[in-house]
Amino acid sequence: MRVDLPQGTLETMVLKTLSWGPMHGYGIGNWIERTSNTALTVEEGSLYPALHRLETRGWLESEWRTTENNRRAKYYRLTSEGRKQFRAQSKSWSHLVASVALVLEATEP
Amino acid sequence: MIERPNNSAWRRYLRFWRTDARADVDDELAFHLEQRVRDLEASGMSRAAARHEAARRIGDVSALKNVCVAIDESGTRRREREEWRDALRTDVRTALRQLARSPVVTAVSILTLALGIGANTAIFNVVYAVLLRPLPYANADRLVVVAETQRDSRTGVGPGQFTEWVARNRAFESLSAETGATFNLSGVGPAQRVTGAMVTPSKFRTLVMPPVAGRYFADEEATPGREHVVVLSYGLFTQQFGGDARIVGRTISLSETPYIVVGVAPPDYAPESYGEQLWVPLALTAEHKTKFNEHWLLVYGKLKAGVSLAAAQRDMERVTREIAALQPASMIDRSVRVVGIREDLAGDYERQLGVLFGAAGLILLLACSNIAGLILARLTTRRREIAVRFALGAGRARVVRLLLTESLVLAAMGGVASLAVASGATMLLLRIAPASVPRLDQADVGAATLPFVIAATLVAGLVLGIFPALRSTRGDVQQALRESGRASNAANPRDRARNTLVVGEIALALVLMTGAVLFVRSARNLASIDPGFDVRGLQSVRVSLAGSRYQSPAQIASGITRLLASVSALPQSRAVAATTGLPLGNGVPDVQLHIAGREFLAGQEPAANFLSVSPTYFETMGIPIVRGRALNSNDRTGAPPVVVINEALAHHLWPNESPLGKRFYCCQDTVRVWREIVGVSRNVRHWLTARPFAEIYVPYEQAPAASWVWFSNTVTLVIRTERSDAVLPLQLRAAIAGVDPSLPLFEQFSYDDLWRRSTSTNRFAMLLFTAFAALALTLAAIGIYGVLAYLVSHRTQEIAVRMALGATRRQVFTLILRQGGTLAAGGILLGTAIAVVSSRALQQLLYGIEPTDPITYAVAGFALAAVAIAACYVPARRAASVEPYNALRG
Repeated sequence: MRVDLPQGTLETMVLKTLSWGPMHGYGIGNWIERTSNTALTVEEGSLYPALHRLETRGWLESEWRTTENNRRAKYYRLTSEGRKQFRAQSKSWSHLVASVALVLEATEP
Repeated sequence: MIERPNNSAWRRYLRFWRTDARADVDDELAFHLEQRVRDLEASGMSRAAARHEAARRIGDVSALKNVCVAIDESGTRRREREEWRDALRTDVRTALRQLARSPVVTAVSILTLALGIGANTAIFNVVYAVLLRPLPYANADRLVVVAETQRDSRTGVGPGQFTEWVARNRAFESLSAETGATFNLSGVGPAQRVTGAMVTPSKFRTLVMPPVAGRYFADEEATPGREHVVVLSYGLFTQQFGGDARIVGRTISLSETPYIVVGVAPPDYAPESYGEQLWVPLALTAEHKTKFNEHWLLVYGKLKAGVSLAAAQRDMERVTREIAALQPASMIDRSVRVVGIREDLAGDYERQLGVLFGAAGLILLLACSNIAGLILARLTTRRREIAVRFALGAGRARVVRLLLTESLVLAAMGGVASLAVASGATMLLLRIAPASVPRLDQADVGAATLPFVIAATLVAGLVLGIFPALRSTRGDVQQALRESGRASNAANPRDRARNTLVVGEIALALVLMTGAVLFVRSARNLASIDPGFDVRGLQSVRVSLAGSRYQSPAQIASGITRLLASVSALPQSRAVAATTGLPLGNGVPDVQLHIAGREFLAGQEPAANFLSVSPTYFETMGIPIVRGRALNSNDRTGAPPVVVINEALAHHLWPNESPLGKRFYCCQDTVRVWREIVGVSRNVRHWLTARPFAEIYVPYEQAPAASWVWFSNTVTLVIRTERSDAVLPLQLRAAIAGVDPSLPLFEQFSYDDLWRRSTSTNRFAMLLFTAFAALALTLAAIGIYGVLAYLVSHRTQEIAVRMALGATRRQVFTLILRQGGTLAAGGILLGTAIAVVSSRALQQLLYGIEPTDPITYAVAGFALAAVAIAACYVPARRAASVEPYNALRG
C-alpha cells in the first residue's frame, strides 16, 4: 500500500534517518523506503528541498565526503539543534498517532 | 554566459574560494542519479533502461535545482546578516569597554559633543521654524509676493497697477491685493482695537486653507455697498466669541458699522507676527482702478503650475512695460519684483540666521577636532593593541571598522545628551530672540529636530573616527610591537596631526571671538547713538479716535485737546504731547513737498516724513529748536498755517539760506494750503540705525483732513515723568477713559521698552556670539592644554636628560611654553585670515563698525593668546619640576 505523506512528516523522518549517523541524500531516501517496506516513496522533488531547508534552518550540517565506492557525495549530519527538534517532533508525532488510533479504534460510542 | 568546465577539480578550486551553491546542488543531484542508476542496474535492468527510469523518477531536474539553490541563498543571506549583527554587537561591546577604560576622557568627549550638537540643534530649531518649515497653505511652493519697485527699492502696489496686472498677466493662477486696516471692535467686552486687513476675495483663493466655519468672500462682496461682511481669525474667534460657531451669520460692530460674520479662518492662516485678527473685503472702486501713483497694496500671487519664479518675473516685467506705455508719467523709475513667499517672510533674518548657523557649525567642528585630539592621544597608547590585532589576522578594514564603531558609539552618546542641551538652549533662544522674527513662536523641539540630531551625530561620529582610524592603521606593525609601548619622539606624525588639530581649533576660536567682539562693539555703538531726543522718563500710548463722534478733523482735534488736558492733570506728568509718529515706535508716511517758487524734475521732488503733533511735542520729547520758534498754542484752526521742519530738510532744500518764512504746500490737499516754515528742529532718528530723514511737523489742529485717514484716526500720547512707576500705565488708561471710555488703547510702551526693541536684533546676535566664543575659547584651551600635557608626560625622560646636562628649570619652562606659543601663534594667524574673509557676512548686521576692524582683531587675538598661554602654564610648570634623578632612574 502506498501512503501520501502529511506535511512536515518527511522532515521528521529525515531527522530520524540521520539520528543513526551522517548520510547522503540518496541514502536517506533509500533508508526511508526500505524501512517502511516500500510503503513510502520519497520523491526527489520533496527530499532535496527538505534537506536544504533543514540545513538553512541550522538543524542539519553538510560536508563533502567520499563514499565507500570512492565517489564524492554530500553528507548530512544532525546538529544538536536538529537532535532537539527531532526529539520534540517524534514525541508529538507519536502522541498524534496514538490519539488518532484511540479515536479510530474505539469500540463503543 | 561563461562556459564553465564541467570538471570537479575546477569546481573544487572554485569552492576553495567561496561556496558555490549552484555547483554544489549540481554535484549532489548528479551523485543521486548515478547512485540510482547503479542500484537499478544491480537489480537487473539494462544500463539504458536504468538511466531512463532514474531520470523519470527525479522529474524536472533543473526546476529542482533552482528550488534548492533558492533555499540555500536565502539561508546565506540570513547568515550573513546574522554574522554582521554579531560582529556589530561585538564591536559595540569592545567600543564600550574601551570608552569605559578612560572614563574622564569619555565624559569630557560626551559633554563636548553634547554642547556642540546641542547648540547646533537649538539654532537649527529656530532656522527651521523661521526659514524651512512649510507654510500651511495649499501649493505653498507656488506662492509669491509681487511688489512694485522704485529705483530698486520695494514699494507697495498701486490699485491701477494691480488692476492691470490681473488683466494682463499670464503667469498667475490668482493675484490678491490687501491693505492693513484697524477697527474698533465694540459691543463685546471693553472697546478693543483690532488689526485686520481689507482683502480682495481672491486672497482666499491665493493663500488657500479651508475655513473652520462658514465661508470666505464671494467676488461680488468686493463692491461698495455689499462689503460689510467679515471673516474672523481663529484667535479672535476663540478669544472674543468663545469659539462658538453660531457667530457665523451674526452681526458685529466694527468702528460703529455693522458687519455680518461670514466665516472663520483656521488657526495658522495668518502668521502670528502679522497679527491679523479679521478680514473685510477690499472694494476697489472704478476711481481706484485708475490710480497709478498711490502705492498702498500688498499683493500675493499663486503661480500657475510649472511656472518658475524667473518666468513670472519676466512676465510681470512685460506687463509693467505695457502699463508704462499707457501711464508714462506714473511709471518713471518703476519696475516690479516677484519674490517667493517664504523668502519674503524670512526677510532680513535669513542672513542673520545663516550667520548664526554658520557659527554653531564652527562650534561643532571645534568640538569634533577637540575630541579627535583626545582619541588620537589615546590611540598612541593603543598602538600595541592595534598591532596585535593586525598580527592576529584582522584586516585593515576590520580595524578601521572597530575604531569607527568606537567613535560612532561616542557620538551617539553625545547625541543623546545633546537633546537635553538642545531643548534648554531652544527655550533660551526663544526668550532672547527679537520679538519681530516671523514664525519664531512656533519654534520648539519638534519632529524636525530628531532627524537633524541624528544627522549631526552621524557626521560627528564619522569625522571623529575616520581620521584617527586611517592614521592608526598605517605604519609598521612589527615596529609597533617591538617598541614595547615606549614613548615615541616629538617628530612623530601623530603628534603633527594633533598639533594641526590644535592650530585649527585656535583658528576657529579666533573666528568666533572676532565675531563676538564685533557684536559687542556694535552694541556699544548702538548704545551711544544720540536719537536726537531725551528718552529718559518717557511713556507712550496710542489711542484710536474712531467712530461717529470723531468724523471730522475738527472733532478729532478737539478729542486730542481733551485727552491732552486729562493726561497732563496726572500728578507725575511734567509734560504731555500728541504725535502721529513716534520715534523708535512706529513708521511715518512721507509726502511730496511743493515749494513756492521752485520747480523740480519729475521724480526728483523733495519729500519728507509727515507728522502732525501738538505744540508741546518738542518740549515734551526734549527736541531742541535750532532756528525760529517751536509751534505754540496760537497755531490752531483758522490761524495762518505754519510748519516746523528738521535740519535735514532745511539743509537739503536751503543749504545756504534761512528756511524761515519759506512756504510750501503738500499732502494731497484738495485745496492748496500754503504752509509757512516758522522753525527748524534738531534731527531725530525714527529708526535707531537709520540716518535721520527729512521731516515736517504740522500742528494737529492744522493737519490736512486726508492725513487722519493715513493714521486711521490714531494718535500717540507721550508723557514725560520724573520717574516712571508701576501705576503710571494704569493711571494713563484711567485718564483716557475719563475723556471717552469707548476709546481703545494700544501700543503702550515706556521708552526703555522701545529702546530695547530697537536694539534686540543686535543684542540677540551679540549674546549668541559671546556664548559661542566663550565655548570655543574653552574648547581651544582644553585642546592646547591636552597636547602640551601629553607632550610633557611623554618627554619626561628627555627633559630629565636635558636637566642632567645642565638645562635650568627656567629653560625647560620656556621650552614647553614656546611649543604652546608656536601652536597658538599659528592658530591666531590662520584664524585672522579666515575671519577677515568670513566676517564679511556680518557686514549688514553690524552698526558703526567694519567687519575688518583692526582693533577688534587685536583684541580677539590678544585674548586668545592670553588664554592659550594660561593653558600652557600648568604643563610647563610640571615639566620644569621634573626631578632628573628620579625620572632617569625610573
